[in-house]
Formats: sequence, C-alpha cells, structure tokens
Amino acid sequence: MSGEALLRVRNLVISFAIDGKDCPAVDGITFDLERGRTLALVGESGSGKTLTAVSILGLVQPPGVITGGSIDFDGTELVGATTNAFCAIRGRRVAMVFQEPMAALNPVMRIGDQIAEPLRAHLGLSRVAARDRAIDLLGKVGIGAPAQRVDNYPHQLSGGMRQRVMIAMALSCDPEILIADEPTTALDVTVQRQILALLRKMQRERHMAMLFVTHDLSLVENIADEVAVMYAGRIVERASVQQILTTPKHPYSRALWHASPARHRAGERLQAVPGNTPGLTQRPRGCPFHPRCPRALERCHQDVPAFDASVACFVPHS
Amino acid sequence: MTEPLVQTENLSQQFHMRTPGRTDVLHALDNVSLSIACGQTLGLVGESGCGKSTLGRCILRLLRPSSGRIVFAGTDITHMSRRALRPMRRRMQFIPQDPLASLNPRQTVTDALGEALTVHRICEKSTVPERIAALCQSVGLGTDIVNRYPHELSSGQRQRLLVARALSVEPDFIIADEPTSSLDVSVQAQVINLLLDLKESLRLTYLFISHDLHVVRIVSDVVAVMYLGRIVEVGSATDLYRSPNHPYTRVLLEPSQASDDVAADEPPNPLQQPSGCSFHPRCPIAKDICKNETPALRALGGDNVDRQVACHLA
Repeated sequence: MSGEALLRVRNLVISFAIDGKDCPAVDGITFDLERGRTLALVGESGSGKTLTAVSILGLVQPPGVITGGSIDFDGTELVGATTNAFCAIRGRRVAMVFQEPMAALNPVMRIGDQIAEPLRAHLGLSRVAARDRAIDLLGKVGIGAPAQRVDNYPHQLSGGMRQRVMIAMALSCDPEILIADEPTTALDVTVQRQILALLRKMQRERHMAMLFVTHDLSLVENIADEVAVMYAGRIVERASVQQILTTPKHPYSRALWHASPARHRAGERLQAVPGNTPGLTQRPRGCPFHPRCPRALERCHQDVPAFDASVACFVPHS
Repeated sequence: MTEPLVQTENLSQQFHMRTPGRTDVLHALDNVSLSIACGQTLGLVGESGCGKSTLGRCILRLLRPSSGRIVFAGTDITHMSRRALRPMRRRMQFIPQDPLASLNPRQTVTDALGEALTVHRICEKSTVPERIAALCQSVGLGTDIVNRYPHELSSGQRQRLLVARALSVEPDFIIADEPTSSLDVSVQAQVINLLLDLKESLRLTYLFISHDLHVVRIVSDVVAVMYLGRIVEVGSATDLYRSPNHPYTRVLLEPSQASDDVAADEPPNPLQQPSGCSFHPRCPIAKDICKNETPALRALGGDNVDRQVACHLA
C-alpha cells in the first residue's frame, strides 16, 4: 500500500449480545482506504460487510455494539465519537448511497428538497442557492430535464432514477469518502451497468475514496482497485482486483468466483459451495470457512488462521 | 422437435388502471406466441415491468387473459372453469421468487408439503410422512427439518422447500419466477444445480423467468427476450447468446459504450406504449419505418428454423 490512508480501520469488532453471549458479527477486521482509490468489500449475507460500512458513519444500531478496535478518519478517532462529532462528518465528509433507494428516500418530500437538505445544513446555503445546486447535481448524475424533476416525489421516478437521486444527495457536499452499499442490487441489468459507470466517473472526477460493498464478485472488476473478501465477520483475503479475479488465494474467494453464473456455459453445472454461511450463533471453531472448505486440514478445525500479507488461510492456493 | 407441452397463441393481457376521472389501459402482454417443448427449458428475460411475470401467471391461469389462447398438453385451458382446471393445475406448478412471502409462517415444513399431497390425493394418508421425507431428500433437505417453521430455515433451505412443494404433486411443467434472485451466490449455485438435476431425473419442462442473463444462459434450452409486453427475439440459448439479432438483445448481452448509452434512457412507461416498434425510442439503429409499423415476430432465414426476431432491420 502506498499513499496516505484517509481511513484506517484496525481490528474492528462489532458484537451483538445474544442470550447473554457476545457474538461478534464483525470480528477483528483491518483495512485502509486511500484518497482516489476504491476498495470493494465483497461477501455474502451475514458476512458483516454492511455493518462494517455503517460503523464508519457511527450508525451501528443497538443491540450491536463496537466492542474493540479503532476507526481513524483523517486523524479523528470515530469509535466512541459523540453524535455531534458524527454530525459534522456524516453527509459532509463521508457520505453513503444505500441499497434500497425507495426505503432511503423520504416519500413525502420533493427530491430537490432532499438534496438541498445537506447543502443547507452543512454548507449553509440559502434556499434558492441550494435549489440551484440541487438542479445542477441532478444534471450531473444524468437525470434529464433536472429543472422539472427537482420538484418530483420519489414515487414519480423509476428505480434507476431514484438511485441517481441518492447519488446526487451523497455527492452534494463533496465528500471525501463515498460508501456505496449494494447500490445496484435492486436494479435491472441495463440500469445496473449505468449506475456503476456513474459511480466510477464521479469517484475519479472528484478523487474520492470509495468503499463499494457488494455480494457480487463479478461487479468489482469494473469499479474497484482493491478487493477485500469477507466471510463470517473476517476479511479472508485482500488483493488487487486483477489478482482476486485471476489468482484468488483463499479457497472461499475461489469458490465464490467459481459459483458465479457469469463464468459458466449453457447447460453446465455450477460449482456450488456446499453448506450455508454460518449464522451469528453458529460460527464454527477454527477457520470459519472450514466446514465448507475443500482443502481444510485438521488444523483448520482448531486454529483461526491469522491474516498474513494478503490472505487468512493455512492452505492458500498459490 | 418434440410435441410442445405449453403453447400460447396471440396471448394478450390488458389491465385497466382506474384513477378518478379516467381509465388507462396497460398492455402487459401483447400478442405473445410461444411454445415450450416437452422436457425443455424456456428462459424468459427482460427488464422489470416488461410483462415476464404476467406471462407466467397467465399460463397458470392465475389471470384471465384478455385475448388469445393457452394450450397445455393439447388441451385449451384459456376459458376452463376453476373446477376443470384443478386436475390441470396438479400438472403445472410455480416456484415463486420470495420464499418468505410465499410460505405460510405458521405452517411447518410437513404442513406445507402435506397440504398439496392431501388436496390432490397424491398418496394415501398413512404414507404422507414417508412421502414428505422422500421429497425433502430429493431436494437436498435433511429430514430433521420437517417440523420447522419457515423462519427457522436458512434462505437456501426455504428455496429448496418451495422446490419440494412444487414437486410434491408430480407436475410436468414448472414456472420458476426469479427462483434464485434472493439467494447468495454460493447458495444460488446449489439451487440452480438442483433445478437442472431435477429436470433430467423427472423429465420436467420449465419456464424460467429471470432478469439475470447469466443464469438464464445456464439453465435454458431456448431463450425468449421480452420488451414492453412483446417477444422481440427467440432462439436457442447458444445461438442467441452467440449472435443476438434484435438491437435490444444486443444492448442486454453486449456491454459497450453504445449499449450503455441506450440503457441510460429510462425504460418507457408501459402505459404510454410507443407507436410502431416499442423499442424505437431507445434503439440505436431505428429508421422511420420503426416509428410507424409494428414489426411482427418472424423466422430468420438460414438453417435455424427456431430463430425468430421482431425487427424491421434484423
């Protein structure tokens, strides 16, 4: 890694108390995010990827609690920071695009007012100036006739347009970090490609750092510089996009890639991963992936492999 | 070519959208003619709102089509009464998209599977538990889960349960509507493999509805592409993916700057069907004729008689 890290996450642990026991949903993860770079956090449901993302904004909801580690954002410690401290950061310096635009947008507020809200709160713009800026932003994210659209309500827009509005909102105050949590999952394929292209363009133009959270490894190729693969609350592999897609080292990264339908021909059986991702209370001993792993050794049942250079595995592929 | 098991002829479905003071007509299906041969899988792709699920629901007669015919195993079922339909319904089953929404939260696995067995008198009452165990096994569910409720199952297990429920009445034909879109990639692969295995071992015929083009390519023998209620292209999976003929199919299959630009245009509102070819406002090669005349689905020349496309310029 080179350059200055804008965000340093170290040994972050986020736990839920279940039946009196602390169950770590995020279990000691470490990563850096640099200006102008995109890190993709890839994992299946329950891997802790979204929880990691929202922890940066101080949005971990009880009963979830950050029980260890640190999140350093440009010199400020965010673990344990006050609500006031977060208010100065959220939407201003770190912004987020959520998965379900319909759930994240206010259905009874015009989209222009929703985009103007952070502008007025953070930048102190007047009503008129904020509206002009909102129209400008709508145009930038590719919405036609922005001067008319600005007065629309969310239900008047298609899914793709709503996601564009979310992006416009996130970009409104020129954030340094953009967190995108499965921003294309709810969208059609054609629209999906378009939103990815827009995010990439905005990230490059503004030299933002982006944390791109997804369950779909086939999306990262076109958007990320680096990939961190998460499984059961841990990062099991971290590498450049090229490396993850050509020579994945962790058996799970490999399995994930091989199970992807994009890699198969008509009529071919997919290479499925046996079993299910373990629930929060059923995390196995040792390496969390060992019950599903084709390469597991005796040792993997007992010991948790440490993260070494790029992979956390006793028997990585070379 | 084997006998078609399912056929639709010029099937149309309109919905009347009433708002105070006016009624808009939404053409969800417009003259859809398709046939699915016995033992084959037809993959149906298209953007959301194009009518793929409506077509599925029409074929199952969960909707009453506005015009056209539906023929199942040689019998016209378009206007069949509910009573007459019941034995037909045993032969055609449905695997829905969202397992939690389509399982009764207060029914255990045994209840969910036993109900269909009893209603259709598939087996003796005394052999029902045995039968349920066998069904669970056939879809890769352990028999230890038979007394669980849906919320106690993982998402993969729930999807398997839906497959088992569809299979319980020994159908010939299954409509799977986005059966894996709620699943994780590693589990999705298990369920797709299961569907492929069952097709072979039970000689099933599928209509597989999905917006995921990769998944459709893997499961389908024949693929039909839908746009705003019309079929715009049909062909064998290998053929269609190798050389898409309709400009819309090309936009879907061949990512490029040009097709991204097309995709950038919002899909049109089905309430305001464009004149002529409904794709013309987004089409990169549209000519005047496309604005005025609706292209019919026609066979393409060459050796492949099954290849059809609805485009003036293809």
